[in-house]
Formats: sequence, structure tokens, C-alpha cells
Amino acid sequence: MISTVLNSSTSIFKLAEDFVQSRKNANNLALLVEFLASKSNVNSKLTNCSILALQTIFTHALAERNRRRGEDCGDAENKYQEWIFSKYEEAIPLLLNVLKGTKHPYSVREQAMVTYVNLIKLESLYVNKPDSKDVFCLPKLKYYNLLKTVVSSKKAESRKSKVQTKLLNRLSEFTALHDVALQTWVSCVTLTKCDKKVPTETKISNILQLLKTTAIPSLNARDKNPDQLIFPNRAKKIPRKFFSKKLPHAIDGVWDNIKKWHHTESTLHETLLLLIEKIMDNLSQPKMLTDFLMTSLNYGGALSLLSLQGIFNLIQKHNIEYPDVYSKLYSLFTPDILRTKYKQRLFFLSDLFLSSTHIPESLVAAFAKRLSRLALTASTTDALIIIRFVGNLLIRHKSVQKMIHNPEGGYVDCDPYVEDEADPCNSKAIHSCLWELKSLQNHLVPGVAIAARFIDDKLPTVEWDLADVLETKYCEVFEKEMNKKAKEITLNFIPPTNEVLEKLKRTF
Amino acid sequence: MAKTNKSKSKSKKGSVKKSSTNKPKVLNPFEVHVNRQKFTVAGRKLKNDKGLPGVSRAKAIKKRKATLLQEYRVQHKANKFDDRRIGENNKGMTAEDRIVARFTAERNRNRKKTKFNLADEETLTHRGQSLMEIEKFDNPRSDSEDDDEQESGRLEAKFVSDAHFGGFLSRKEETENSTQSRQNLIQELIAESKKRKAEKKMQNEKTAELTEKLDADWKDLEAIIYQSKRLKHNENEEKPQIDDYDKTVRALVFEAKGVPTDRLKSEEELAKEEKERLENLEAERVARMHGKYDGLKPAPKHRSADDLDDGFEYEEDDPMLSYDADGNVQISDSNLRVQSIQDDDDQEEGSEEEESEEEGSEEEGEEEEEQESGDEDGEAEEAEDEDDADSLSDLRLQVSEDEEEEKPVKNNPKKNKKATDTRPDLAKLKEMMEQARKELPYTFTVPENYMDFVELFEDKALAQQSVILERMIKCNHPKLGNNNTAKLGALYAFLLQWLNDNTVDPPANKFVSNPNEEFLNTLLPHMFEVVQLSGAGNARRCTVAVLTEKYEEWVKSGANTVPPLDTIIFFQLILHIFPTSDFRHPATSPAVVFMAEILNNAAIHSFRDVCNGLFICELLTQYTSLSRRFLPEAFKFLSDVICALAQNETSPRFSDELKPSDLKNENLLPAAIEILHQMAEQSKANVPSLPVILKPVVKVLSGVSQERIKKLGNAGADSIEGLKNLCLKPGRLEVMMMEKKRPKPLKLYEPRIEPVIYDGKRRVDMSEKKREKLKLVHKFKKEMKGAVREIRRDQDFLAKVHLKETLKSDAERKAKVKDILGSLATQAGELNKLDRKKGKKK
Repeated sequence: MISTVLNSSTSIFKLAEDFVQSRKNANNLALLVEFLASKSNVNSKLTNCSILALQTIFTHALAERNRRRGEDCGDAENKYQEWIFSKYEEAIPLLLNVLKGTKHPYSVREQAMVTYVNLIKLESLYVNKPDSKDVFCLPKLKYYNLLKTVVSSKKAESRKSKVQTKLLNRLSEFTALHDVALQTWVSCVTLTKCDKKVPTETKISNILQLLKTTAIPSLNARDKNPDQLIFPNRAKKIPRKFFSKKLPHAIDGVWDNIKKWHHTESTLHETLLLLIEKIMDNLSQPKMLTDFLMTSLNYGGALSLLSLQGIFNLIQKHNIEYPDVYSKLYSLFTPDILRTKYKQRLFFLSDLFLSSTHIPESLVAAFAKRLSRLALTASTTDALIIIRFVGNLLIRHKSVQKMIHNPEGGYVDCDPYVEDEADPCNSKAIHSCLWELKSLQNHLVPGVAIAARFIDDKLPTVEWDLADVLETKYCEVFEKEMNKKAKEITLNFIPPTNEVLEKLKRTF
Repeated sequence: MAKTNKSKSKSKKGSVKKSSTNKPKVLNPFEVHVNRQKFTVAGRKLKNDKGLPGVSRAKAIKKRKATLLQEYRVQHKANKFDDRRIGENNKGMTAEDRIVARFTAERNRNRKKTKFNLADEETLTHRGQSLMEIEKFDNPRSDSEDDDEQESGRLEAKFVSDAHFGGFLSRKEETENSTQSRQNLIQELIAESKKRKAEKKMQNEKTAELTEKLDADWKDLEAIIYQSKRLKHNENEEKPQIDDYDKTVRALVFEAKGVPTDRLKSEEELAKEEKERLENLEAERVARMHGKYDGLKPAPKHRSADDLDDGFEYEEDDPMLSYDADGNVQISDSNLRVQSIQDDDDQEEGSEEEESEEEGSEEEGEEEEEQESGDEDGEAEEAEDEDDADSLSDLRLQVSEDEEEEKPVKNNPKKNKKATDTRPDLAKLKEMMEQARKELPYTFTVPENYMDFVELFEDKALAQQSVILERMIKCNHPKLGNNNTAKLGALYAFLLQWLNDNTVDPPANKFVSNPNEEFLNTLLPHMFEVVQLSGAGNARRCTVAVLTEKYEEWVKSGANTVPPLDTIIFFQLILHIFPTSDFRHPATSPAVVFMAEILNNAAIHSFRDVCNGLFICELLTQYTSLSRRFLPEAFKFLSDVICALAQNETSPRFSDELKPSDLKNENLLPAAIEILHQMAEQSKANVPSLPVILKPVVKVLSGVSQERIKKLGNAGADSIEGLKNLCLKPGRLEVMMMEKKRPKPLKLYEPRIEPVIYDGKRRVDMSEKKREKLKLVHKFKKEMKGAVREIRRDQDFLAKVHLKETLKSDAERKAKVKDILGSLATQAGELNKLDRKKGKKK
């Protein structure tokens, strides 16, 4: 019956308009809610329209209710308002249903989510104003439900997870606001808690993504940038202790829960990223992270790299002593790691690690040697980075310079460097020479060959800036060679006779 | 004010000096003031040891009167009369001078209008008559005649003296002729003078008439006189016939003298020259390989404005294309002639030996050139078969075939076998070329655009294409016309496009020889020649443009594939056109980077990808064959491929879609191993860390079973052995040591010797800048003082003038008052007088 009435978008909008114009048409609201609730409805366009219509109606109704609050109105009026609010409570879960369900396309689900957020915002503004004791900007349970819905998705289907990412991105517009972010962190404590059921990998990655996009709220924003809040005029009402006590507590709670999850490699990866970027600086006791980081350090590859960054932070800021860190870093330098996207991070970090002047020369020498070995099989761009890096090491540590200039001279039968030694200090690299750089002087790409020539001359006193080469790409090298001005262009003077052409007659 | 005073005074000074020079200056000893000196310093000249205070003060006052006083007078006046007539204010000019000056000015002003109109400047007159009219020469009257006439119009002197002045002595006669009244006398007089005038006129007319007649007669007569004269002349002298001998002598005198030519060079000398040239080129190449080319070649000297730019090829940013006047391709006569000769030559190849001497000089020039620009490596062959001596480019295919036959077998047997395999093909090709030669027209112009080019080349067999190209290059040789260089440049671009369009990919799953090989081998020699003729700049521009296009295409496709052959073929082209051994080269270096990126990034999806990758590696071994450098990406690619093929190890490079069965080909693994071995052998000397690089591969290869190795064939097994040797038996490593630098010599300065001049001037040792500054400060102080002094004196002068005026007006007033009082006193006195008189009367 309903679907016969509501069969076009104009008719739906007409209902909303009528409702706004006169109270006579109050039943339109019931009609719309019923329409949204009906299982038979699969037309996503009409669903979208009805969501919009509901938003219009409730925006109007809730504002009117707020206006009449002070007035002494009759029983009938109160009853009417009660009815409207009951309808509101009825409609809200329906929106979540639309959001959760997979039968509607992304745009409709997004609209449902946006309407949901708008409506609970209005509710917080007009109906359930937060009391001073437990000030939260949005209705607690309803916001929690929203997060839960967004995060949980049933299958790790590739197309759907893309939708999920889009939804999360859309939601991040709200979670970037500081008071919403605060509430998000607090809600996430419950959200991340796993009692008996182990959360699926998809859910974990969704939660991590949600947290990644959530801002870390700051007291500063409350005082100085009220426009970064969802309710700017409530800025002063949020107590300070929320930022100083409740937030760290919430983050601690979130982290405690996350830690206990069963991680796969990819979720661990994201967890580490989240940890380094967001959580680490806000934990009340970061030292507790050591165990977690140690464990993940042993995974190897990019994971080790990320946990190494965490450890570096701990060492730097919290005075943690980690004896094996250099050998771990040493073992990270494998040809594979140059192919990951964390290459720049690795070089940046190791530059920091090795910038200490209190490390033994045998260690530095081992790093120089290992890196040079890597450059022998690395791509042109990596070779450029490594040459600079090794150069910096040599500049920084004078005593290691004997690897490129050994005044004793003479010959050796084979390279004394032990490649497979795990402990860099025992690798005997200091007794070796950087023949690798000598070899790189004959690199076919002129840029690399020139860069490797630095060993022939006295080293400069100031280190090279690594940032210049860290981001170099092949196309830049290509461009550079293209634009190189030559004084004179030379031509081949040996004509391609058959004899010459014959050399290339291998069959492929 | 002081400033204006000064500038004005300068002009005044000039005039004063002028007058003073006229009269010798006499110094009045009383006017001289001597400044006393405390100490007398020998040799010091002072400016101000004595002065003339009176004179200078008078001068200053005079100056102020002329300037300051004038200003003072017009001080509060809003307007003034400015006499701007020329010379009016200049007292040095007399009235006449002024008039002359004004007249000149006016003339000049008029002339300004007709400055460039030279024709009618102004009418020149003689006696009021314009010269233009006189110059018509219509019987001008001589001066004397005019004089006569004037005279005749007047009365006779006697008559005048008689009539006007009474004629004291002839008074008697007057009394006698008193009967004639004075009136009659005058009438008679008038009549007589009229008569005289008329007579004179008549006479004049008659004379003019006669003169004209005489002139006319003379003209008739003239012809006869001259004719007779000429006749006489002819009879007397007869012109001598010009001798043949003389003629020849004269012709020889004026004929252009022959210039002594260079002696024809013997064969040994030619060979030696060629050898030297090649040695030079090789030395340059080696220098460039090591990246220190700059020092060897003398820097280009001064280039004059008329330089034809035929010495070096300079890189230009914007290529200039030049066209004919009409923008068409035009072949000059000489050009055509040469072609026809060549064509004959082509037809009669058999009897070429005898004819070669008779052929025109142009052809010889052509030949020499061909030898220069053409084949350089055929040292021995040139002597052997003279057929090829004239145009090696013609017979490129044949020559190489001959070579193959005669060369001692030094290549590995496999290659030789291949050469013999291809022999029938070559013979066939030669035959086809012969046929094509006969079928095709002899001249070709370079097409204007690519469409025309395609039209010309489409549906032609390779042999025909080759012949067309060969003839096209000959017809458009740069030596034949200045536009041909540009045409050949365009031709190169067309050829690149043609190469791009006609490259075909081999079948995806088969291991075959490059299907484009024949095509490329046909085009390459011609492209090489075109590049040699059209210049390196153009070649580089075109090639690099193609390379960039290919690169962008590849990047657009994701930059993680092995590109198809139509990209790789350009790497091969670059290999032959440009020197690959240069340390850095504008065309080869980008190509190398491109290849490196391909080998680094490319994921392998199919069998063809592996083949193409190996082909790139093979090309790279050629790139580095001379420079012996190495590219880690190539090693990495090869070892990845070998590991995957030999051990079925999975590498991230191979995509999951690729089934192991796809790569099961007998020839793939030995090819990869061979290339790797070749590459390793090349860089052995330069790369001390080679064992480290090869270690993983050798480890994998050691694990390969003997049976498998046997399957790989001899070459593969040898390569494996070679790689093992390279890796496991490395030579001794030299401990690295920086080259000992020669100690820097201490800087030795020559003593600075300065002339010391005792001229009494202070010479403080300070920098030029500081000295300049001090000088300026000093000057400023001096000027400031002078200006202040001048202003003070101006003030004094004005005060004096003011005082004088006041005194003057006071005196005037006093006098007036005195006058008035006086007159009043007189008045009063007179009144008293009158009163007294009245009183007495009373």
C-alpha cells in the first residue's frame, strides 16, 4: 500500500513539504518511517529520497520543539512532541540498517550515514543536552552504534572493502573535529574490546583505519580554535581534565585492547603505523610498548623497520636501552628492503642511528661495507642514495676512512669482510676496503659513476644532504640525462657493416 | 645661488680674458698682497703665495652686480620684459653684426622648410632677371649693346651742356639763333632722340637676322666639310688585320691563371692518412670514454661573423629549417649532370675500371668524399677488390659477404655457422638488388612529408627500399646544394618513423631470430650515412625525441612491463648511430637510463617478456663492449632469470600468472648464461667486486645437475665454467689507496717593487676605495666652505645695496623736505613782506 503512494521521488518530497507546512499532515512522518522500515523496498533512489525527507522533517520538528520548550503548552502539544520523538527513535536504527545493509549502493549508504550524524547532532543540540558530569557532544550510545556499524563488515570482499574505505573517509570528516575525536577515542575503548569473540581481520583493519583518520584532540583546539569543534559554542564546557586524564586513559584502553588481538602480518603493519603516528606519543606509559615492538621486530622486512622506528622513538624520548638495535638494523639491509616503499624511512632512520659519534668504528665500517654491497645489485636510484649515505658515514667517522685510503697499501688475496656474520662488529669490515665503490665508478649511468668518484679525492668536511637523493626517481635521472647540454655531439665513426651487425645475431 | 653665480661667471671670465690678452697686464705693486710663509720648502710650488685683493674684490663685486643685483631687482616682480631679439643683449656686437645675424637666422629658418629640396633653393638673379630665364639663351643681348642703348636714350653731352647750363662761351650763337624759340628747340631735340632710337633698333634687328642666317648656312655647310675630311682619312690609312697569333696571345693573357694543385697522393699516403685519422678519432673516443674529453681537442677558436659553420656541429635549441626561395626541391644543372654520370656508371658496372679515369672531375670529387664519409674499416679490402673502391655504400651487402668468405675463422664456430647459413639469403638479396637497380628510376627527391615518404616506400621490397635510399642520398648530397642538409635531416626523421611503423613483434611463444633483423640491417647503413651527412645535432634531436616519446608511452602504461620490440629497436639504432663508449652522451645516456629502468622495474608476464629482456641485456653488452662499464640492473635481471630457469626459484619479478611451463624452452637458459658471462668478462678488469655480484648466480648454477648442463650445449657449459672461474678464482685485490698527490708547492711571491717619488705629496698606504672616499670627503668640505663663504659675501653685498638705497632715499627725502620748507619759508617771507607793506601804508 505504501509503495503505491510513494512511487516517485517528487511524491516523497511532497510529503516532507506538507509536513513542514502544516501539522495536519503529521501522519506523513509515520508513512515515511514505515516506508523506510518495509522490507520490500529495494529501490535505492526512493530510499535515498526518503532519507532526505526524514532529515528535512526532523530538522524542522526538533527545532520547533526547542522553540516551544520554555512555553507552557498543553497536554496535547506534549503528547505530539512525545510522538514525534518516538518516531525519531524509530527512524534512527532504520538509518543504521540502510548503512549496514549491502543492498544499496555506496551513495545511499553514505547519505544514510551523513543524515544519521546530522540527526544525532540535532538531538544533542535540542533534545538531550549533555549534563555537566559526563559531557559528550553526541548521544553516547547512538554514536557508538554508528561506529560499530561502520566498522563491522561481513565479508572481506574487495569491492565492498573499497566502499568501507570510502565510508570511513567520509566519517573522518567528523572525526577530525576535536570534540568528536575525543568521543571517538572513548567509544573505541568499548569498540575494540574483544570478550570472547576474536574480531575478524577485516574488522581489525577497519577499526585501525578509523583510528588512523581520527585526530588526537588537543586542549589547544578547545581554547583557540573553536571552529574545529562540532559545537563551537560548547567549547568552554568541555572540562580540561578530559584532555589531561580521560584522553590518555582512553588511548591506553584502546591500545590495551588492540595489543591483545590476534594480528596477521598486514594488520600488524597497520597497527605499527598507527602506533608510531598516533598512539605512541599519547600513551601514559610508553615503555610498556617495548615488548610489543621487540616481538614485531623479529618479523623482518617492513615490519621490523616500523618497529625499529618505534624503538628509536623510545630510545630517544624515554631513555630505553636496547643493546641489539644496531645488529637488528644491520640485518635489515637486504636487497628486498630496497624494493619496499619504506626505503626512504629506512635510510632516514639509519642515518639518525649512525649519527652518534659514540659507536665503534668496526660497526660503522660494517654498515658502510654492507650498504656498498647492496649498491652493487641495487637500482640506479638506490645506488645514488647508498653512495651518498656511505660517503656521509666516512665523513662522519674519520677512522673509517681507511676503508678508502689505507696508507699501508699492498694486495690481499680475498676480501676479509665476512658477509654472513650477524654481529656487525665481528664482520671484519674495518680490515676491508670499499672496492664496491671503486666498481661503481664504472657504473654505466654517468650520474652514479660521478657520484662514486668521491673516494678519489679528499672528502669534504660537510656532509651531503641525503634528502636530495632520497626521493629521486628513474624518470628524473632520465630527464636529467635528456637535458644535459653537450658541447659537441659525437657520432659513431664505425659504420654498421654486416660484421658489426653480425654480433647481434643471437636469436630471441 | 653660489652655483649659478659660478656658472655665469665662467662665461664672463672668458670675455674678460679676451680683452686682457689684448693689453699686457701691468701689475700695480701696491695692489699685490704677499702671503707670508712660515717655512720655505724647496721645490714646493704654492698657488696662493701672492694675490690681488683689490682686483679680485672688484671682480667679485662686478659679478654680483651682474647676477645677484639683477635678481634682487626683479625679486618681487611677477613678470619681466625679455628682449629676445638676436644679439640685442650681446654688447660685443655692433648694429651691423646684429643685422647680419638676424638675416642669417631668417634665411636659415626659410631653408629649414626646403632642407631636402635641392632643386628650387632660391632664384638667382642677374640684374633683376632670373638666371633661369637667361639660361634659355634666346639671343641674349650683350652688355655693350645695352650700354649703347642706354646711352642712346640720353641726350648728347654737348646738347646737355648747352641747353642746361647756358653755355657761357656760346652765348653768341644763342643770340644769333634767337629766332628759334626754346620750345621748338626742345621738340626738335625729342624728335631727334626718337629717331636715333628707332635707327638703333632697326640696326640691331638686322644684325640678329644676319647672324641667324649665317648660323643656318653654316649648318648646311658643316656636313659637307666633315665628310670630305673623313674620306680623305680613310684613303690614307687601312686598318691592319688582327693576327691569329696575337689573338691567342691576348686570350692567353686574360685567361685565368691555373693554380698549382696538390700532388696526387699515392696509395700508401692515403692509407697512412686514413690510419692517422682513425687513430685520432679513436684517441678522442677513448678520452671521452674516460669522461675527460675537454682538454684534448683545441677549443673552437674565434668564430667570425662570416663563419659558415662547417667546422663543428654546435648544439642548437631551435632547429632552423631553411627552404628554397619557392620552397620546392630544386636540383641544379650540375647536380643533374652528376647524376646522369652516376647513372651511366651504375649501368655499366662491368667496365668500370677503364672508365673511371675518364669520368668527370665532379665524379672524382664525389668519390673522394664517399671514401671519407663512407666505409672506414675496409682497409685491406679496398686494395683487393677495386670494384668496391668507388662506392662502397653501393655494395655494402656484397662487400660484407666477400668479407665473410675471405676472413680467417676467428669467431666462435657458432657464429660462423650462422654466417654460412645466411649466405644464400645474401646472394639472393644481391640479385634482387640488381634487379631493383634496373627497375627503379635514377633520381629521387626527398619527400616533403611523411605521407609522401610512405607512398614511396610502401609495397616496395627491402632491396628496392635500399636502392631508393641510396639514390636519394646521392641526389641530395649536402655538397650539391645548401638546402640538402636540411632535407637529409628530414629524411632521417622519416626513416625513424618508418622504422617505428614497420617493426613487428615476433610470435609470443616461440624462440626465433629477430624478425626485424633484415629490415633493420637494410636501413641501418643508410641511416648511418644520412646521419653522417645531415649532422649530429639533427640526429640527436630526432633520436632523443623518439626516445622521449617511447619513454612517456612506457611510463603511461605503468612502467612495469617489458616494452615491445618497436621500442627496443631504437636502442639498437642508437647503438649504431652514436658512440656508446662515451662517458656521457646526450643520446646514449638517456637510452641507458631507460633500459636500466626497464630491467629494474619490469615484471615478467610472458615468455616474450623474458626474450625481450634478454635482448636488452644483449644490447647492453654491446653498449659496454668498449667502455667496459657495468649496469647492476642488467646483472640483477639476468641472475633473476637464470635463478628462475635453473632452479625454479620464485622471484617477485615473475608474476603469478606465469606458469613454469611457459618458460620451458631449451634455448632460453643458455642464452641468458652466455649473455651474463659475456657481460662479466667485459667488466672483469674494471669491477673488482665482480665475484660478489656473481656469487648468488654461481651458487645456483653449481646446484644444476650435470645432465642439465649437458643439455645446455657447449656454449652454455663453457659460460657456466667461465662464470665459476670469475667468481671463485678472483684475482688479488689491491688495497685501496688514494693516489698520492704531489705536495702543493709553497706560494712564492715576487717582491713588490714600487717606485718611490719624493715630490712632497703625502702618500698614505690605503686602498683605492678608501683613497677615493677621502678625496671626496675633502672635496665636499672644501666646496661647503666655499659655498658658505660665497653666501656670506652675497649677504654682505646685498646689505650694502640695501644701505645704499636707504641712504639714497633718505637723502632724497631730506632734499625734498628742505625744498618744501624752503619754498614755504619764501612764501611766508613774501606774505610778511606784503603785510608789512600794507602796514606801512596803513
